[in-house]
Amino acid sequence: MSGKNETWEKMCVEIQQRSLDNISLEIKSAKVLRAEILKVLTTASDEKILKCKIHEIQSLLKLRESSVMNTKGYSEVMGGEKNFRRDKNIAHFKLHNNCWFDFAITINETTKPAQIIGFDFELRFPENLPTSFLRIDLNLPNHNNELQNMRFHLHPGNDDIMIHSPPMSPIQILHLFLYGINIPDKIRA
Amino acid sequence: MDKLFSLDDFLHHRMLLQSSSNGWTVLIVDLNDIPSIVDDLKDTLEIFIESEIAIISGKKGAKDLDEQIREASQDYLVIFNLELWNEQEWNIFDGFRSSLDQDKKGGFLILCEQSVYLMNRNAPHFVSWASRKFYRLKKDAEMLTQTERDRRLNALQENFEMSDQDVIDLAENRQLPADPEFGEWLILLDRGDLLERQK
Repeated sequence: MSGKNETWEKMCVEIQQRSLDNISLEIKSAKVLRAEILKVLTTASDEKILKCKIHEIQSLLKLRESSVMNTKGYSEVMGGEKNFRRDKNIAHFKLHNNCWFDFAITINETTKPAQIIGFDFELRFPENLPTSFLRIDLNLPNHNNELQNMRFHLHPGNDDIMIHSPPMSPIQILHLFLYGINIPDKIRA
Repeated sequence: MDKLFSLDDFLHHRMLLQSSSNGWTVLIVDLNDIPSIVDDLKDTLEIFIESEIAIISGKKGAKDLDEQIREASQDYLVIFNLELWNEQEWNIFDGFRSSLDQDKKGGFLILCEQSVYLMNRNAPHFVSWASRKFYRLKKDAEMLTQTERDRRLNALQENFEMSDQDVIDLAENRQLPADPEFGEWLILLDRGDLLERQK
């Protein structure tokens, strides 16, 4: 049961506004963002943090730009295949600690500068961990106020549970996945 | 000279070699692709080499190009617009090869096939100096292929139990769910324009 509470709803507005005030979603272009991500990933591969070879990273990191004249201006940067079933046989990025991840980022290039308007990043943990995944999302801009007030959110190992997340850019989330997750040798009960 | 490389290959390669000096590479591309490849290099090269680059046009001839190279303060140069050069211009270019081999860290020459033919015949010193660094560019290797697009669309349809038309109908009626996957879905369908209506 989800409780509706006016105070909490006001808090959500404040939390969301604080997030939006403290992060820039502006980028130069989708191509430049992809190149920045490519550099982060190839550096992590050189450091043996990412267990993917350079050619694998290149084939996993893709860009989609509209080729239709009237609908130009929206682009998607994608890392790894779409994988709702969390199937390890579907192409993804592998980490040294047996975690694995994929992501997709939606960009509006009709404005100057271009702007990130949505993303989903999902990190999956090794099978011996009680939590199977962590997803960090930025929802699309929307006229629905309730959704609008939780654009930055995360799913802590459950698709149906979402809580506010700190405002992080795609590059920051990638760094979190690559360098910020320590899997302990001994898992707490 | 028949090696086929993507822009990603060059970017990563330059990152590894950024400390070495005087690395010159000849990129052979289709004539029509030259402007977009120069734009891509301009936007992405600095991210990888972490130093300033200069984009230099050879449109006004080899002597003018020589002057521009000498005056450039940047560490890395991208030279293009050499398609109208005749034999004589390439001869002059060959004469100042040594100015490419000085303080600069290196750069790219962006050429079409016809220019490479003229350069091979009229700038032998440069060709001999840079002979192992001629590459054919595989353009758009980073773009999603049709097969990859279809696979993503299938995954979206299966997960949300909706058709592409269902998603377009929702977006047209300003009822698109706010989940980020629906933005991707519209872009895969070349209907990113419908995202404007959701605000």
